[in-house]
Amino acid sequence: MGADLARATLAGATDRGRGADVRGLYVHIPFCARRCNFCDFVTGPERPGRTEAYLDALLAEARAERGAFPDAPPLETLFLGGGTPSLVAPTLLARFLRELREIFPLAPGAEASLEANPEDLDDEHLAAYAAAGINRLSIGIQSFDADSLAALNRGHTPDQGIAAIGRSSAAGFQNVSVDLLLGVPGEREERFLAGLDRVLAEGIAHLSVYALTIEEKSVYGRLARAGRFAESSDARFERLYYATLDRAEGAGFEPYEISNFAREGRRARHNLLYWRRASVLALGVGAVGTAGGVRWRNASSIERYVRRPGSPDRERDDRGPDALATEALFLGLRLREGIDPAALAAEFGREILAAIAAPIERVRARGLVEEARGRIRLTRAGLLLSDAVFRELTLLPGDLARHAAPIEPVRALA
Amino acid sequence: MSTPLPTDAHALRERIRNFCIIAHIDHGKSTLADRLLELTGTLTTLEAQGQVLDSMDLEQERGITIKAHAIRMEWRGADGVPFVLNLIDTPGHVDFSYEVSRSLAACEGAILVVDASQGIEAQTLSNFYLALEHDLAIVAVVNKIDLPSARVADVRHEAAHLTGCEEDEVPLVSAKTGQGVRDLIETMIARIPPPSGDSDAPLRALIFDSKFDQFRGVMTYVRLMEGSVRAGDRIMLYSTGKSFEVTEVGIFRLKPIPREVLHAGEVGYILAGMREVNDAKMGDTVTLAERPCAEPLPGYREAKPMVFSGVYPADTADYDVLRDALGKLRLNDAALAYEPETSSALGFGFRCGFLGLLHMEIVQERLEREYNLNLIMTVPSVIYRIRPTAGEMFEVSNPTKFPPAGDIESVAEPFVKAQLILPAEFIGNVMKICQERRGVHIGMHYIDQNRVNIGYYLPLGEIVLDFYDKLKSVSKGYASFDYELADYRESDLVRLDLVLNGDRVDPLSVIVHADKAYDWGRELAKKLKTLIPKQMYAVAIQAAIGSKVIARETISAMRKDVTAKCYGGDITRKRKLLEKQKEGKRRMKQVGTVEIPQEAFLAVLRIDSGGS
Repeated sequence: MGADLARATLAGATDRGRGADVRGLYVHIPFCARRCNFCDFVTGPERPGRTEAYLDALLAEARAERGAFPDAPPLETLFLGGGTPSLVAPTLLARFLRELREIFPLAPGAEASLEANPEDLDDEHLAAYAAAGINRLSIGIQSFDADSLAALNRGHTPDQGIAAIGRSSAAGFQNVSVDLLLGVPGEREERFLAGLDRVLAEGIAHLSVYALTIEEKSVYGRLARAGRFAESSDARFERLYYATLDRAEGAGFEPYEISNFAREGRRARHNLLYWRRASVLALGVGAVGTAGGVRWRNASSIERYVRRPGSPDRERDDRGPDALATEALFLGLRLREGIDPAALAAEFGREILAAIAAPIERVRARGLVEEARGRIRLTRAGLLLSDAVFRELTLLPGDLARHAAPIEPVRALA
Repeated sequence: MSTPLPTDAHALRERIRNFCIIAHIDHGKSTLADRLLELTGTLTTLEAQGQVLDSMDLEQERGITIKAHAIRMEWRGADGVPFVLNLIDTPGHVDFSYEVSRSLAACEGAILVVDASQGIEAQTLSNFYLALEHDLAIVAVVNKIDLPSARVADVRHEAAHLTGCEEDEVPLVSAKTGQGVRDLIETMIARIPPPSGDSDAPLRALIFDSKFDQFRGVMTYVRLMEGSVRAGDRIMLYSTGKSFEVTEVGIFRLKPIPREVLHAGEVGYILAGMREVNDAKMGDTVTLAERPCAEPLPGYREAKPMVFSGVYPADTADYDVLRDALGKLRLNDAALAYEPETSSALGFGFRCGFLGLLHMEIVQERLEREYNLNLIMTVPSVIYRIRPTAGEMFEVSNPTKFPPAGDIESVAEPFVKAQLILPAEFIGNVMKICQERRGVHIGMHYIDQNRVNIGYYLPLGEIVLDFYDKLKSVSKGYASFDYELADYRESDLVRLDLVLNGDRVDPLSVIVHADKAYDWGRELAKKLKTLIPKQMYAVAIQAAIGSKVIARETISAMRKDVTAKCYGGDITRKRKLLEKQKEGKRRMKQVGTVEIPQEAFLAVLRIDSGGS
């Protein structure tokens, strides 16, 4: 972040600025054909009329944000996430994208991503996306095991998963990412590894592997509370995670973030904006944007969003210096490149280093972080216990102030 | 036609009635006091709507009065003859029995209030006996006659039987509505004698309370038995021999009102430049330095704490705040004893002595509420007498100071004599819990058709934790109990320690009976397993007596503590979760390599010492 922006942020910015620092845009499409058992997002079924109204409301919000950020440059990244963006009829989506790009143009070489379910990626969809400027696909495969897919309540078969990758490639998409879930209850280890090997052999550019998390508000969450859900054991999870890490590396992928692996030059640029704390605008229900040091979140109701196009209810997260520093620490450490103490000191003052000295030493002593080339990063062991590390480093309001150097005494005038 | 009060000391004394109101908790003592204040014009009706005598929030919440108050009321009956009615309010709880007894010593009479729907209960009896011991004229009165559930005739009969008077001599009142209260006042004036005493004799005054006021210093509440006192006099306290110059004397209505002089028979206050309530000890005798009385008043004793607990700040940075807070509380609570103490697990703190569990809870709440302190209290303990194999007998109240078994010849623990009053249907349940707590049955008799009074000797150590709650729960809330210290008895007691990864957690050490040690140890270890979160390393929990491990549990190490996704919409939520967890961590205590949450220390208190 530029020094001016840093100062504005630390001063408790209330004004989102004119957008000179904006680099990316996220668009949320909340529609789904079914609810997967692990999901706790706000979603709803796709219905004719409803989708169009929603897309119109997105464009209204886009215009409003464009007015609010007159200095926003052409976007480096665009990301359509959901829900299931691929559920939207291709012509509708293509038209939407065209109109969106008139409001927020893309820079040359920008990354434009779309999340898709494998069963939606037929030739018609792929052609429409390519024509509309989408150049990256994130395919929600989750698993190559039929039983697991059924247990998760996904809408495709293992073969459809593989076929989707092939078709994407055939349609000219060179930047394809696949999502896999780790720790699906009941999935046998060999099956998971076989599926992993298969996808690594398919020539994809990027892989995201997520530990299955039991979210309170998901179907799994309810089952767990009723005592009817057996989570996969920690020991098994550990084995599979490291196996994934090793195999991905072996196949030429760099594990550049806790859950993300990429071939050379194929890191997810949009997500990197989040991890590197850049300003990213956002449209749609539940979408979270950051600009000028201010972060906000749109309200979750689809009905209300559509009823008030262009002016969604928003909630702000007002972050003091300690909160900003905490984010810099944990987001930075999620990346394999880790954090740079010198850069942190430049941004937050030397007090941040004083504040984290003891906790860093504690986690270093436990083998969870290491120093490499002047940077601090998680070790292999630290990856799985990263939240414990982040907790140690979390700063609470007042922590930075407590560690600030005392003011120099005023010298008496002679 | 109303006549003024006489100014002659002797004549005035004939018109004085010094009395208190005693009752079992919630029988209406405070409401009756308010009604008296209202009817005598001491309080306007509006002021009487709050309960004026209970001045602390805590007292109001619990419906109890902790500090004794004295209020002077004036009453003119139908014939217009004026009387001075000094109401001395007394604490109602067994923990404060010494204070109650000093307040009684200041009176000639007592109004014994009995709730018409509850009848005589344990503290009705214990207060009655206490009043008898002080030779007070006792006027039993049946209150709450307005309640639909009132059993007026029965309870009147019980009350008359207890106090040895005729049934029609027991007034019936409703303190809430005011019904019968005027007649009660007339009855009281008739049946309670005026005080005796000679105001020219050497000063001999009983201190029945003292209160620290930040502007005026200690205000000493006195009942003059003999002599008189005025500003300028030099007084002396019998217990210490210290003397002070009186700056002001006066009486209380709701506020202190200065007077020129106080005479024998009167109740009022003395201000004499004292700096802490310890200078004006409850029960002590005040006399004149130049002309002291020959003998002090009987019954004085130093307040002796019975229950001890280690009190530590959850955040070690708060030590100074805690120390200052205890000092301030002590200004107005002479019974609070404390001295610095160190624990390897909790750092620097204090060992505090309390009159009982209620006193302890009140002090804890005040520290937490008024001084904003987060506290860790160790398991409350009593004073044990240890006869070592070599050397003199000594007393120990901190379990960590219990010597190793090999050095102990015998241990004696304090026993109390308890009386429990309950409906007959719960006899079995109540006797069972007394037996579980090593009680020794004394006897049982019916106090009426449905209720019994059961006597038990019980180890004080077995009732300081949760006996009262357990008693209430096995008797659907109907049982009540009262106790007094009886004697010390030898018991087979051992110290049970909790060890985590080889480090002893001394705040969790408890003294238990050898027969119960295994059950306690197992329960404690199991409980801790659920309360201590997973750590980086496995945690071995052991319960041990000396070096012998009697129970163990293991908490396996944490292996997975990671968040899969952290994108735009997740960051704020993640950060807030981390902040909340970090705050929780700050309240943990590090014992060796293990982090223990504050709740773990308190959870020990909730282990059922009955073993079930």
